Amino acid sequence: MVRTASLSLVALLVLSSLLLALPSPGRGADVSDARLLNAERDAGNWLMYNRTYAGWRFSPLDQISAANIKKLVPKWIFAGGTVGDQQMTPVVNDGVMFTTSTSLAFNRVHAVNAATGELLWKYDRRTAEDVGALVRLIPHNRGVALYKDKVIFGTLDAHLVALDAKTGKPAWETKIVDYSDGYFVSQAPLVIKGKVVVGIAGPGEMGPRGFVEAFDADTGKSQWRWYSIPAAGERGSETWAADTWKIGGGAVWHTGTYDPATNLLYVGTGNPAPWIADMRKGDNLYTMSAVALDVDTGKMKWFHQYLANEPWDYDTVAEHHVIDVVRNGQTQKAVVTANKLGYVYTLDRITGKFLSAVPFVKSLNWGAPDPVTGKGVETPGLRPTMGGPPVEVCPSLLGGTGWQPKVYNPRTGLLYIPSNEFCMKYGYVPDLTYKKGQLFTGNTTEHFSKTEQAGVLRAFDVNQNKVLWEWNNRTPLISHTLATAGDLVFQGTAEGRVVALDAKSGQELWSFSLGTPQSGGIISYAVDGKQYIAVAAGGTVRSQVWFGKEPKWTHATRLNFSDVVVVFGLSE
Amino acid sequence: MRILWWLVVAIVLIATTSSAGEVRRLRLCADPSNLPFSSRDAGEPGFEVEIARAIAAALEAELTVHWVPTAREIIVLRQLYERRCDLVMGFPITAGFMDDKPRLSLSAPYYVMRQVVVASSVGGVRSLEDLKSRVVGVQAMTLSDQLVYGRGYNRKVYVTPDETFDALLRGEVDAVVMESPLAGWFVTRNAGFVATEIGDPGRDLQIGAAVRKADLDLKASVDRAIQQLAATTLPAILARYGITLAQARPPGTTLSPELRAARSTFLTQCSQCHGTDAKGTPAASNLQAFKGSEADFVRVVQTGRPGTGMTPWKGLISEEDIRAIARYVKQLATDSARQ
Repeated sequence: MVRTASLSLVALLVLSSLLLALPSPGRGADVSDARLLNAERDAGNWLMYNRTYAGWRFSPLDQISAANIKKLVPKWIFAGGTVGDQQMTPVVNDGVMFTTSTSLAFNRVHAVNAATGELLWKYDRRTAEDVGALVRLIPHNRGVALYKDKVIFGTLDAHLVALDAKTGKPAWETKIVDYSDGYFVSQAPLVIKGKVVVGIAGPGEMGPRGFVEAFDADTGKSQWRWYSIPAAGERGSETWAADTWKIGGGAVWHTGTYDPATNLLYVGTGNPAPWIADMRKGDNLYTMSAVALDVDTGKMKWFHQYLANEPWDYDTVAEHHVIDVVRNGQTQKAVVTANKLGYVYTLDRITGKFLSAVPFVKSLNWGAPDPVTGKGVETPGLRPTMGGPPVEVCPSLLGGTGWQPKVYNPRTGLLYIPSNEFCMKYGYVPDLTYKKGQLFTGNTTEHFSKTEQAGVLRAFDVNQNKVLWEWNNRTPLISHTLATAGDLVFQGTAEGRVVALDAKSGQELWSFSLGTPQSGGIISYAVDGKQYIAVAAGGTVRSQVWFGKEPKWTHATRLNFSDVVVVFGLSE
Repeated sequence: MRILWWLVVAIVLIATTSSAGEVRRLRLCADPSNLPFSSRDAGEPGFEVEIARAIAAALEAELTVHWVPTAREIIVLRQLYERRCDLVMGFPITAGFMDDKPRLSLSAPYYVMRQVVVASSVGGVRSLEDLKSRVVGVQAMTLSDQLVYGRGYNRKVYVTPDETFDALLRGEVDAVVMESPLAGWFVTRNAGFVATEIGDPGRDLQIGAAVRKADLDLKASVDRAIQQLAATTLPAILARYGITLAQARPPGTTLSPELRAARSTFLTQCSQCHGTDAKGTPAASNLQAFKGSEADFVRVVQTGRPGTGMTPWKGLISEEDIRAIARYVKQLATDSARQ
């Protein structure tokens, strides 16, 4: 026994040193197109939001593993200086970490020495005083994109800003759109072939039309814009009654994925506005859809709408993982997504054809996808009426799984889904009128759970199309997940814990108390041959609202918020 | 023919009731084309058919429907007496109705029919009092007609519910007073219109299902099923057809048009954090317990509470509207204290 263990440990060490040694362009090297395309093999770095274009968030580093996890200790902590909305995933390029911290007053970007935590530079960009209601309620930013010698991020007042990665000095700035309509940027942009691709936030709650836009990464000049809602006369506009398309929502607020082989960008679109479905009769294309866009032109290649005339705020923005799945012995080029609707959907990534949908949560009553077409078929009676009594619908509007990224380990074939067993009492206000700058949702919502363990991390085998193991937590998992080649899965919780689990069994191996809710990204990177795990934490104001009416969860709402990045490494 | 008919009935009777008195099969008489009450269209069967199905499901009985026009009461009751069906939905539980029907028995009520005011969501009409200076549409010879006539309002009379609502859509009348199922059906199909209950419990009509008086077991079973379904299934079915329930609103509260508008702003902009009852969540304070003056309320809403989730609303909600919200919250607090 002892002999076998030490032998495999040696093998692991050899393997990890190989991986760490692979491409090492030297500290502070520019992030070229080639490096972004080959990010998967660039083991020591985390160059973009989801680490790779495929969206896996899988680190090939294996120095930290089940064998030595007990020796994982905090190495440094960095405080961002804001309170209440830390949802950011750091990125790392050759020993430098870039993080954001955001409040209503400013968008802040930091460059930090990734080995020591030393602050290299900091940039604050003040927010205009007259931004819309949604920005005032949930001012947040999910991170930056790296390209060549620049750090690029979107702002609360709907601008795109590029900074010099070495100094933090502004290089260029572009106004994307007028923020007074309620638009802002929360997602980390994605740079593909010299284009900064960014989707807009705000429309689902504020009304204006959602879109995705591409900008020249060197100059900030607009290249193309694709609207998630067709204008009058365009194909699909017949799915909107009268002029409702003008304030029909359909935000694209989550970073997309990309397949170089198809040259397609895959994005999920959000819910239509207002949330009162009868006020915008029709199927409401292309909200609630998977959409594939040609990266060069912004033209839509295909779409698949998950739910027509959506009434419950079940945005289908979750990332569409680029995975070749093996079903019945056949390899299929697919995108796989687990979203708020509570199902894992598989679509053909070349044609958009629906392949399968499997539920991953038990608290689910809204309906089910048609097994042939994949279009949602609703359970009758779950749409509220204006001013009528609230209806009990499951999952809650936070979704079977929310925006928190799902992660995919190609070694196990498992998609790790931070999922939720909860429901909501959901009603519509008696009347609603569109007012620019005000919330245009029209809902009343209280979350509750019928189970004691509302948060469930599920390991879903994408080839067998079924859940293999579960790990339970008392509060819903609106925290992050990371998979590593050390056969570990890291998971954060609203109780402020980060745990490490065995990737194959879900057995809990390690835990650390952060002292504030885990709410931002969890990543892994290496500097000078040493692997680190970085955990962004600090909580989100909304989670206190969501947890507030369910007595099973209020223990988590007592934690204080504090915006931090905590970095772990092996003790020496 | 006659002999054959009774033979069939005899077989059905055996199949309908087991020795233990359990209902195994339920035959409903319903109109094939009378939405929102009933329809032969399986995709949109009407709330009374859905409720009958829910009752049958609760009893683990099979439901079949005998389609018959119900415009004339005597025809549909004859179907019941002659055992072509066992159950007919939609009868008022009143002594006046039951007096001359010795062979009929009514179940426990499964909903309450009321009169409601239907008007545009932006026109400011939210109560009977608001109708004083307006033109009101009603269906002839209905309880609503009688109500509006009794109040002496300027009324226009139409023959059918459809014609009455068409007049509202055309702008021929400012508002319509109508029975709640018909009004609910209309507002769920026409965005921009709202239905408001008149808030007069004295005019409430309890509605039950009719069975033959001799079917004692069946009546007991249907009553039991309705009791089981009352908490969630019935409200869900009724809500889908736009029929609001008495429990939806606190009793005794009648809001002025100003406070109704404030309630709308509060529910849309504030209730996500402060709760629909304004009693707060761990993220937001209990506004019913707000200690300051109206001016203090306005100041806090405009400037926010730094270091908390309370954001400044200046520029988004007008001062006048914030004052109205303060008054609405005060009204909520007064109502809670009274309860």
